[in-house]
Amino acid sequence: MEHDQEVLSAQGVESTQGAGSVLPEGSASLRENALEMPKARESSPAAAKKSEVSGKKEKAGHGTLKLGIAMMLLSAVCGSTGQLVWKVAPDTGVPLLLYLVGVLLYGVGAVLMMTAFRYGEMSILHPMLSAGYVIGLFYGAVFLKEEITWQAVVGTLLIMIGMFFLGRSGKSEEGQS
Amino acid sequence: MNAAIEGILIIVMAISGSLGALFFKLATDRLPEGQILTLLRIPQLYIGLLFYAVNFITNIVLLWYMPFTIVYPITALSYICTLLISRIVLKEPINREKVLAIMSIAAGVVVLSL
Repeated sequence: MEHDQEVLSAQGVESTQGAGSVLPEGSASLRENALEMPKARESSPAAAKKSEVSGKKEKAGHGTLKLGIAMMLLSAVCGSTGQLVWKVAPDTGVPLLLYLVGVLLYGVGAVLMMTAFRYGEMSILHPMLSAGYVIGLFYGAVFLKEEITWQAVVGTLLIMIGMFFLGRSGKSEEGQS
Repeated sequence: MNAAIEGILIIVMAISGSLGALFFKLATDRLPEGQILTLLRIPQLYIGLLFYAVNFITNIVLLWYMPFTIVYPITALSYICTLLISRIVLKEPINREKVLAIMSIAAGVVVLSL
């Protein structure tokens, strides 16, 4: 265990090159997983020097970025739904149960968010979490009967336009490489 | 509260949010396919969680002293930090589309809180 950790941290930033090739002898469980990796590695052809820096995951295609974006959006849904559940919990017959559901949703959202980073650039995936602001507003209007102001409409539009172009920026980079 | 301390807290909040994301990215990049539990053995995960805790605490402290409508849009500052950190540490490309997109998102969050 200790040995694994050492090697893992020694990999440093290069880790994105593919776990399969740099795994230590001692890590049986990790090595097993490495056997599943070749699929992904084959799909990135005799990779250009550039890809060593940005990591093979992005090279694997726009499909993985889409998965990452989908996971981020789902994470935002989980987070906002968790907050909504916490907000309404005291007004229901089963507040404790609902607080627990909220915590669970938050946890699932957190794991989704962390895992999503694997499937693309951080600069594209991290801002996608701002979908949470929009979903929160939507929930406020639909479930809590909060008023929809013009600021909410304009702000939501700006955020959604931004998210759209962020997704596109990933696509255009791929076209260049 | 002192304006200088507020300023420092705001910067710490923005940067810790991005650093948290950075370490989650570093952690999950070395995650073998379909082995999510292995994540628990990757030290970067815990560094990421630590930064998120700092982010959470500074957020709460700021809310004690400043109105929600001011603190809320500041959270969007994290995305701008993320753009810079991803460029410096991960060498991710910055293009015009990406910059405009993040500006638009940040502006949207500010407008929301008006």
